[in-house]
Amino acid sequence: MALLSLYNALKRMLALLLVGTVLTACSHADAPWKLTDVSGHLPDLSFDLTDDNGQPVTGHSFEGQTTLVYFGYTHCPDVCPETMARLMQVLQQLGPEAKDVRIVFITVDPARDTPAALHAYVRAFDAEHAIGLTGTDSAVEGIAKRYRVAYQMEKRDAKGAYDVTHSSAVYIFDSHGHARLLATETDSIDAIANDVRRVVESPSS
Amino acid sequence: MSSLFYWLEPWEPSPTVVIAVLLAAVLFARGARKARVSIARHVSFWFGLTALYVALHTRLDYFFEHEFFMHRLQHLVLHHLGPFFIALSYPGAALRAGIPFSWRQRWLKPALEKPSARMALRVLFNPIVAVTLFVGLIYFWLLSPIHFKAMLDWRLYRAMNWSMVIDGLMFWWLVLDSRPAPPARLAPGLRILVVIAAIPPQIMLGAYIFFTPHELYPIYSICGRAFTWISPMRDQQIGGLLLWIPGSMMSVIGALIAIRHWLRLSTRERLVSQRMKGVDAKPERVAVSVG
Repeated sequence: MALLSLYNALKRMLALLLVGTVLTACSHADAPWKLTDVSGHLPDLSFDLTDDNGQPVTGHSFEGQTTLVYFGYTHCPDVCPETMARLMQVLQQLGPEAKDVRIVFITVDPARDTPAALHAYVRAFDAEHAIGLTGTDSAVEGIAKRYRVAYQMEKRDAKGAYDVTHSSAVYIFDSHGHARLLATETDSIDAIANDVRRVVESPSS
Repeated sequence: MSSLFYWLEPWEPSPTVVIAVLLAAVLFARGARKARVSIARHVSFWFGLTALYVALHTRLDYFFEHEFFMHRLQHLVLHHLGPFFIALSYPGAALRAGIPFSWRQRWLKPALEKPSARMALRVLFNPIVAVTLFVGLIYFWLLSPIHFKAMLDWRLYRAMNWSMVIDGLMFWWLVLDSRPAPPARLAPGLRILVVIAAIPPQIMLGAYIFFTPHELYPIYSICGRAFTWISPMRDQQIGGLLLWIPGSMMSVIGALIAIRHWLRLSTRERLVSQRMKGVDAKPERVAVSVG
């Protein structure tokens, strides 16, 4: 009896270990990615927002395009412009392949970021590949929740200006709208360009 | 009042949580009228159940998802505090009495008497399995790559939280049982051993997280932190401390309660063993005391 219970205990532990290895290993089918592989762990691209021309957009609007989704706001002092600049360099490295890549800038400050403000901001970086999206508070909160993005308004200063702290991650979706990779501040431009090219060339089915 | 409703709004609504908590509440409320339940046990049960609900289904979940030490706090409630108080109220009889008699006859009894169900319960409540599961689940979900995916993938996140609740209920039910064995699954002395065995691994992991000089769980920096005024390292250290001190403290309290039950039962235990001397010792009892 005691032996049997011990045997069962061991079996249980082995099962747990196995689940662990499967969970970590399932993402490394072929060559490892330089960015963080999130395939299968995040929901597909889906939202109801307004683009910087005031037109309604959904996740399906980007079908056939690889999207680099970034959450930010136009009053952002340093992180957002820096990230956008880095993404511009990624596009340069991609060369002609950049034609099927879109940079989607979703505001976490819909109160101040009107479509016009977003248009001026985002198109200044790249009029061809970058697009700004805004929406109602709940629509923005919904998509942030969907991708586990934290953001919150900080205290207003004397002039009523405020910062919004937010995640600096870039979410990379393939042309079918499946979440594939996460790029962070520490990932080099080369690494991002390399992996984005792989996603463009081999979207998941 | 409106701010209370703001905080009670679930961050990620889950029908499973609502149904499970409501079911437990209705069964206990119904059954407590038939089975005699003291006020202290009432308080203990409702406190534990409320704690579980608050930790699973309120706006606090935003902070649990986006701050490591808040996540540890959530698991302290889900794995230790909530199940501890529910088990302490010893609600089995009341919950059972809460099920309509005909349902008990038709579904519950046959289900529990199935050989597979008995086997599963015997395995799950084996002392080695119980300690391994209790500690193993904490370690498993805190492995860096696993934790990363659990905080990103909502399905894994829910599986993680539910596994903590279910395991917590099983473990504390086993440890805080006040009856002699049998009918309790573990002998009173073994219950003390089981809960004490779970202390060192929690202290070790908590200390390891506290003393690690680099970020073990980068997911919080990637997705953004809820408390931007706390540095990532400080967040990690508080999280480690929460596992190290309150986590193991709960086990110490559990051990003290188990010791009290053991002392209280010691006279009766002697009677049981004296009674057993005349008859052949039951094989099940031998297995329990060896295992």
